[in-house]
Amino acid sequence: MNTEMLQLAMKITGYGCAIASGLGSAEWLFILRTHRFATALLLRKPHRSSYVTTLLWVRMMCALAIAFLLPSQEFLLAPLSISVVASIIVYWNISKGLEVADFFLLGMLACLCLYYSHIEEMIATTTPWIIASMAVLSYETAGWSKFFSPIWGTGEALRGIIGTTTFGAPFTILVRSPKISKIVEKLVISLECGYVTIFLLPERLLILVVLLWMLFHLSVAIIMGLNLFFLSYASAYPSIVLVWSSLHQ
Amino acid sequence: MGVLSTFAVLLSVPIVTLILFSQLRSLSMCRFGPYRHSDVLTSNLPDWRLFAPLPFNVDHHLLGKQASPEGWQVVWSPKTWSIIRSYWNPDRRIAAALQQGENELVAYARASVPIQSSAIFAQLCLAAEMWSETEKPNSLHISFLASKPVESQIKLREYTLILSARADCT
Repeated sequence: MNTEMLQLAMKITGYGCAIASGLGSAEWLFILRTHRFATALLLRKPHRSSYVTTLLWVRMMCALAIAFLLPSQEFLLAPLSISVVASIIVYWNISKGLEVADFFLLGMLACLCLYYSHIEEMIATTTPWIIASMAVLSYETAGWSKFFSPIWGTGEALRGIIGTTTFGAPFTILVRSPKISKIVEKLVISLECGYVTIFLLPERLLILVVLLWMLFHLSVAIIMGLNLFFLSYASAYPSIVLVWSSLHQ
Repeated sequence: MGVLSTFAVLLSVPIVTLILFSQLRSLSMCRFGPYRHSDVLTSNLPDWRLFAPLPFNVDHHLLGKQASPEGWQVVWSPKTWSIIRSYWNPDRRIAAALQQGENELVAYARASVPIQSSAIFAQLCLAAEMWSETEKPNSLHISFLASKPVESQIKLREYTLILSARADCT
């Protein structure tokens, strides 16, 4: 694996994770501060909210430190490790409201810890493979569960999701048509189920498919408001491209 | 090899293993229903089946009722779409919490276990108490309910009560 490419990929992943971690922490802090009842609803032990809040601040500061230290890479392991520890404690104290993107982000931060530990070259070169495995498993799980779902593929699922205020948007009126919704659903299922074939694609097609996936995540962020999904999953793409290039050497 | 490096590796390896394990577990659950949790340990692992097998096709609202007959008041309601939501959307945490709470209540109801013993019931009780303190300092009797529109009738009907967790926090 090309060392320069590996370094660049990990740097991009690092920036993506830093932004996602910082933004995620800021959102949690905001929601716990603005809605008083949220402490009771979201936390396992509401009386420990100040403790969780402190850890969220630590996590946010670590995200800033990661972004700041990434160019030089000196002392980077400290904020990364603290960020992972803080995330684990915060997630443990949160009872409800966590989403898959949070755990994906935690996995990515752990992988960055592995890479920047500089213990063994083998560990460093394995890191993109682990990130790519997490991404592939995530997409495959989402795809196959949709494939076996009695609702997905009938045109009802997307219409239902987009029909809500929570995840809907006014300009997605097209998806409310059962036929279009059915086509889009089948497209999503086939793309997710066939995600693993990304490693078999030729170079030009790979660029196109990666751009399509970026566009998909961006549209999910814009329409559904799932911003962390975009940031954390997009951070995995440098590793996916790196694994692809290793396989095609 | 520094102490911090060793610590980072010892910290990261179990996390990555656990995440990969939870993904494989979710992948193995693809053909089964949403409530297939075999034990306490694995039920706390993240579920990677995004919006499947049953998609999130309802809105949850949190309403509060005072002891004095003022009718239902909106404590929390999902916000309508705006471009800001694509990069700043903290409210989805409450929406996710209410969805998870509903799943928990449904699971309790299916198992014929009183919902009063569920964690979400206790959480709603406390939330009601906190809301009461914030909004109306002297009122204590609060009812909380989560509601959703009738399935498959997108935005055609108003919300139908599907579950209610009464929280008398006196």
